[in-house]
Amino acid sequence: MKAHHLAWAGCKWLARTVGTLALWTLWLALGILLAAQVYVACTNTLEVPAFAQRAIERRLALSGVRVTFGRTRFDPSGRILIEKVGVRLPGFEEEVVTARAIYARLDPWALAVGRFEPLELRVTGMSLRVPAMLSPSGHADEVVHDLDGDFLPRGDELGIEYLNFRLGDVGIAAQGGLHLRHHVEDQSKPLPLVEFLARNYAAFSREFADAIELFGVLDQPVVRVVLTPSVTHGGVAGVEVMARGLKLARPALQVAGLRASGEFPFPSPGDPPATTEFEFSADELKLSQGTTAHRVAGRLDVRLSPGRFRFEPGVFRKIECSAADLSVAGVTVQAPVIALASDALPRVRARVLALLFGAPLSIRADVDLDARSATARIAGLLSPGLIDPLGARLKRDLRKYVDLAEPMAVDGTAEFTAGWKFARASGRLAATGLTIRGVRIAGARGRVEFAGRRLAASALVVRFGENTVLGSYEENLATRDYRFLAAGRSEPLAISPWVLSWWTDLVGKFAFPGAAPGASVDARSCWGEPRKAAVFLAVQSDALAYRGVACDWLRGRLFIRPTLTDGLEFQVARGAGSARGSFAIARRYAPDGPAVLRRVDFDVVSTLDLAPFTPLAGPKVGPVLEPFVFVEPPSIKAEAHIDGPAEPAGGHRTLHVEVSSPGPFRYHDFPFQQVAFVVDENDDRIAIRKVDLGLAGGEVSGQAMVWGTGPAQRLNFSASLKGASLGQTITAVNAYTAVHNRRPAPPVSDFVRAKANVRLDLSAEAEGECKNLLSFKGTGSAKLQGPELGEVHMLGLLSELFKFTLLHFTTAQADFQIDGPRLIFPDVEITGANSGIKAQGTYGLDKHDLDFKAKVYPFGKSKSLPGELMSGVLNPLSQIFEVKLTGTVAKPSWSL
Amino acid sequence: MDIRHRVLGAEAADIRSLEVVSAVPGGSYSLESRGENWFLTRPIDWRANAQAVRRIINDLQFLDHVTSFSVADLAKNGQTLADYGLAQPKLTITFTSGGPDTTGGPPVTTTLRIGSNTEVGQRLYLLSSDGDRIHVVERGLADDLALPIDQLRDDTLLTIPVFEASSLNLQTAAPADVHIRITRGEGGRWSFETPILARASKDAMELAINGLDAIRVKDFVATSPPIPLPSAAPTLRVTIEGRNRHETLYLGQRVAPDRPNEYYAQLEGRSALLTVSIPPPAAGAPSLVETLRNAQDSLRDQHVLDFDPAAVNVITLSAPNQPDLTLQRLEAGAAAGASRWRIVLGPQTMPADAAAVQHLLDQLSLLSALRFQSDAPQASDLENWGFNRPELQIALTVPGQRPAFDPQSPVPNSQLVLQFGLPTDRADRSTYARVANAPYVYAVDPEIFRDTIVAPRAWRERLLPFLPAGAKIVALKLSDIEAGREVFDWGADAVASPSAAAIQVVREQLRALRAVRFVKDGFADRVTVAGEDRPWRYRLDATIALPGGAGAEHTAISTLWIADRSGGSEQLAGSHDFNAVFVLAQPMVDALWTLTYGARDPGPPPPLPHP
Repeated sequence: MKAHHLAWAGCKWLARTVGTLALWTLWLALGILLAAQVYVACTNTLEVPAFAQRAIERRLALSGVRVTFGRTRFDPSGRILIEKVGVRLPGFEEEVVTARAIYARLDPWALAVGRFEPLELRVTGMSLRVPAMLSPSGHADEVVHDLDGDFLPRGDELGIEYLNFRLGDVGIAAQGGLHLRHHVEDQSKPLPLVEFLARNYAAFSREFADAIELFGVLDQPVVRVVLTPSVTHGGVAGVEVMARGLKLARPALQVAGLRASGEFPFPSPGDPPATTEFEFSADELKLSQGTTAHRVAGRLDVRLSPGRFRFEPGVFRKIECSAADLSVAGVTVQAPVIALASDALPRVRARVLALLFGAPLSIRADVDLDARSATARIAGLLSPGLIDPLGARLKRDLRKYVDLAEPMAVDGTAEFTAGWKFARASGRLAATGLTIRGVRIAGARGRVEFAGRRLAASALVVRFGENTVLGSYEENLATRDYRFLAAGRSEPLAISPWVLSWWTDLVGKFAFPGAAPGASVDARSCWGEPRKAAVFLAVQSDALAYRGVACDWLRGRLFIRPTLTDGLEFQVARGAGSARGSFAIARRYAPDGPAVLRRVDFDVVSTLDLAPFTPLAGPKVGPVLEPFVFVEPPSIKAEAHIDGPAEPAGGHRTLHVEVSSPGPFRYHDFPFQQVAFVVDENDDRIAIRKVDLGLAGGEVSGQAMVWGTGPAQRLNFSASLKGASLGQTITAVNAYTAVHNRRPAPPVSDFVRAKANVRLDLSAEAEGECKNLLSFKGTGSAKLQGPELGEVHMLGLLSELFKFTLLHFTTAQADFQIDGPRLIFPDVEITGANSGIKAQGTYGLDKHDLDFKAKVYPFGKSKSLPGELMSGVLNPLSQIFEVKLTGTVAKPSWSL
Repeated sequence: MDIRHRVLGAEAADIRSLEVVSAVPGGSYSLESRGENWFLTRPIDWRANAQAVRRIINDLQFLDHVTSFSVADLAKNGQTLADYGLAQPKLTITFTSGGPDTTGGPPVTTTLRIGSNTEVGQRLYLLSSDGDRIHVVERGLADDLALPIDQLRDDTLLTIPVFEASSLNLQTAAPADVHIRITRGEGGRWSFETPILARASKDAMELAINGLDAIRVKDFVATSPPIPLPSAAPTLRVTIEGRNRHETLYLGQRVAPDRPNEYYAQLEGRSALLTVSIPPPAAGAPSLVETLRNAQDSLRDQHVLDFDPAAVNVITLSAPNQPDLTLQRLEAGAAAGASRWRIVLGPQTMPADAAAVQHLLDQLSLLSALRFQSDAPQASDLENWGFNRPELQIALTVPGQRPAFDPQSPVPNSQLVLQFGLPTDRADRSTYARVANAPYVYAVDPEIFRDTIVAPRAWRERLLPFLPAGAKIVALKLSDIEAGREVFDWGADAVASPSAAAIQVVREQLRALRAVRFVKDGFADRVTVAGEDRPWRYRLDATIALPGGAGAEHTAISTLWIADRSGGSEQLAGSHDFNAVFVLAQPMVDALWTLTYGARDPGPPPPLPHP
């Protein structure tokens, strides 16, 4: 701008100067000519008419101007040539104006009647000097020299064929004409211009000296002036200044290839201010701190006040300029267009439009130059190419934070308070194809506000692929604390770089084959201090998979700290089943290593089919759950508190589980009809209560307690089976055995079919070491009851004929003791309608060996006559029917 | 006047043409003044470097001799012109000056001959135009005259600066063969005149023109010109009109496939063939040539609507199967404190949320075309783009101009109707917009639907008068209904507690209770949280002291029913008094979270000790 100001100031001054100089030169020449006529008369070179001599002398005396001449030549046709002209003005001893020669062509007829009317006036080699008493150097320095001019008075106008002179080293070439304001010639008064110049030469000489200094900043300037007569202003100067360069020290400014032009009316005191236009261009413009522009073109609207010769900012009304490029602080913009306008300084309206790294950006600002404050509106696109230079300026790799694939749209305002102090900025941003802190974003837009330390983005709409998230972001740039509030749908892993590893660990187990999950999140933390993270997350998803297990939907609310994942609630559904509950996982803070568990709490109610989830239960729980197979999903209610290794108080553990399933259930492939039980665990005490199993048509009830740890862990149980079908029990056992022996299940035998109606009751209670089945001690009882319990054919095939000889057993009952490796049966009694068997013995649990003795009492219970007869006959023989059972279960041995 | 030191006088004051004939091959050239500019006419027809020409003319005008002597005296001293290098001069300068327009007579021709250098000093001999005198002059003139052609020619093409430009005309090549004319009107606004009547983007226009001005000559092509020449078959013709002048650039084919930014070019009225290099664009941005070729879109004002939001006094939203919703700006002088907008529901009205309405107006004023879909759609197009049954219609009513001839007449209103359509083709994911009665169809961001819900609850006044004027909260109790316990019970004389700050926030929020949005038009006993209908979880009872007569106070209890926090920024509250279910503001959500969950929050772990 300074270059423009200087150029304008120079041109304005120049216009004034040229006009003044032309007029002055004319009148001075005329005055000198008058004096010359006197001189000619005095020196007797040619006789000057007496009337002319008297008139000239009178007029010059009135002006106080003294003139000296060298050689003169004069002819009667009115042509006069005067050489070596010197002019002294009142108050100065030295000659301040000199001319090598003045040539005048006068109207001889006018001269004959005493009127001085030049038809042409030429001046050559004229110089103007600063009087010594006013000169900074103390010497009468030339300010204007080598002045050559040719003037043609034409009535009220003065034609200037040419007026070439040097102001200092600046060559100024002028031509055109001026309008001479009409005045009535009064021979009794001094020549007005001569009088004016005589009185104001001191001031003008200072102006000349200043102008020389002003033009001194130009390198090889060339000035062209075209003067156009103006009735109102006397003249309008069209000024064109060209210079190879311009150089200023303060402010630091260098311009190369300067060209400036404008038209300036000659202002006169009393004239109203006039607005005019001034154009300039420069090949290159350099300001301090590396600010450079190339191929600058501009236009100024300036308001000229009369009598004002110097540059003052107030004269500018409007400035428009453009350039091919502009570099500021290492950043280059292309095709900048700058417009400044002011109705009343110091307030200025500014508009800057440019391609910043190829992307258009405009700034419109209201500026207060005095207060040095501004409000700016910024609109356009921010180029991806801006990131690296900005990062270099900030000494940060900004691409780690933001990377753009396409220009980002911006429309906002910035406010600078007194002293250009940044106050706040806000605006709308919109971008597509960007990456923020490692997260790829298809598109984002929102409103951003920045006020010193606080950066806030609101009304954010962020697209991750096809999914959209709405929200806000806020950051304290001083503390680097930040907060996201977001709601919408997105692939959870898409934002992994924004959050800690726990996020990846958590959501990495999920897959969302359908729509991305919906979530609403409040995430706070501090960049660089992840320990401050606090996340509230509400999530819902349809059609998801958890570690490969498909689920229909999931909903949940979580609160997460680095040391806590608090599942405030969750619901998940799969098929007809669902689960809901809450959980909390506390862990020790370990930012760089794997989390160490402190405790887990959960409270879950589930009707889910456990089978798909069993493999997910982990190496400890999985094998425990695996043997459980429910045909119908069980209802489970589970509450637990489990301390982890990082819990200072040590590994406490409480667990309450209620399981029930009305449908078939298999445990280790052993079939049950239904199942219900309650498990309570308190550290090393596990109580299994309210066991209710359906087995072979009967019901199993009981309870158990496990306590202790390691080898000393003990089990106490009591259980009873009532009303089970012996046939179904045998079938179940056979099937179970076959499966475990990897054999096909045996076909249902006649025996089993026959025993379908035999009911089995069994009860036992014992206590022993969990890990040693042979350590248990306790008691039990068993009872089989049913018409098809057993038959003995006393007479072989004849018993089919003589039915009374058939021994029927309907009840078998035995109490037993569990004594470590032995089951002791002190009294086994098998009875029927007509017979009985009494037995006693032991069964070795370790070797499966048998040692039983039994006595058979045939017909002893018979109610029929033949039976009673047979009992009477055979009773003495009961000793004969005493048998021994030895061997093993697999290979029994009977003997008498 | 022999006494003069200056060689030239009036004949150099108004030079119109200048020819330099040099003895050095390639050093001859001709210059001609046309208007304000100088042109080289030989060896190429091109604009001259104004600085260089002005310097030459200045040299002539200020050509002073050190001395001079008469040619007639040469013979007396045994000298000839050849002794001064003037028989075969190194440079001959012929210039014309003046003419009928200035002097009223024919141009004056002046010829100067420059001979050899003086044996001592940096001077040379110059023969006057009349051949009578030999001047000894400084050699600066010869140096300026001997400039090479590439320094004498200007490398600019278009010189009308952006602030002077009044129109831009573009003509693309076949098959598009589109003629586009964009003119600058009042206030510097740019408008398309051809082929459509539409607003142009001021910024885009000025950047385009400044970009055109920045194009420079890369090379002049003297051999192997392309066929056809750019002026015969331009791929793009660009005309900039300025103040009483215009300039036309013909852009031809690319110079070579591997130089995508270089084109052949010519200027109108100049036969010179040249190549230009156009700077490449930024990533993702179109190049200048692409911008100009697609000017109908790229230079167009992207805004769909051109209106003053402050002037709108009625907004009517319409959507299929929903009653129209009208928002009406209150006339000036409405009751203090009342909303400036009202929702008109048949004969009844209710206060509208001024911020929400202003946001809508802002969104509409900023609504921009993602794509200019069509400027002349067929009826079938309109049907396909969903305009037979617009998904949304927004009518903006603005007061028009009062007739100047009847200043007492009522101000007529004018209406701007904006329609949004969704395409019938499901594969087309666009949202289209058009201004009724205008032919243009734009593709716009469907996010506009988020701000234009046609339901009263979306526009209802969101500031809820929970606390009447002059009232104060003297007690506050939050109860966990599900757990059957009190979360806190605050009284005016409550002692400080860890929850005090959060309670203070709740109190402040209740003083100016603001709904972020309403989710139901009436109160409900159950609300949807985490995907299922649930009863309210909390109950917030505020005991409010109201000023009574004679300085007495009476109290009343106002209750807010509050649900579990259901999202990062969502927690529902309901009020019988306001007959509404709404989303609480974030500060309230945060405070309630602190109060209801704070005891379970372990807080951030302490920083780990530095190893």
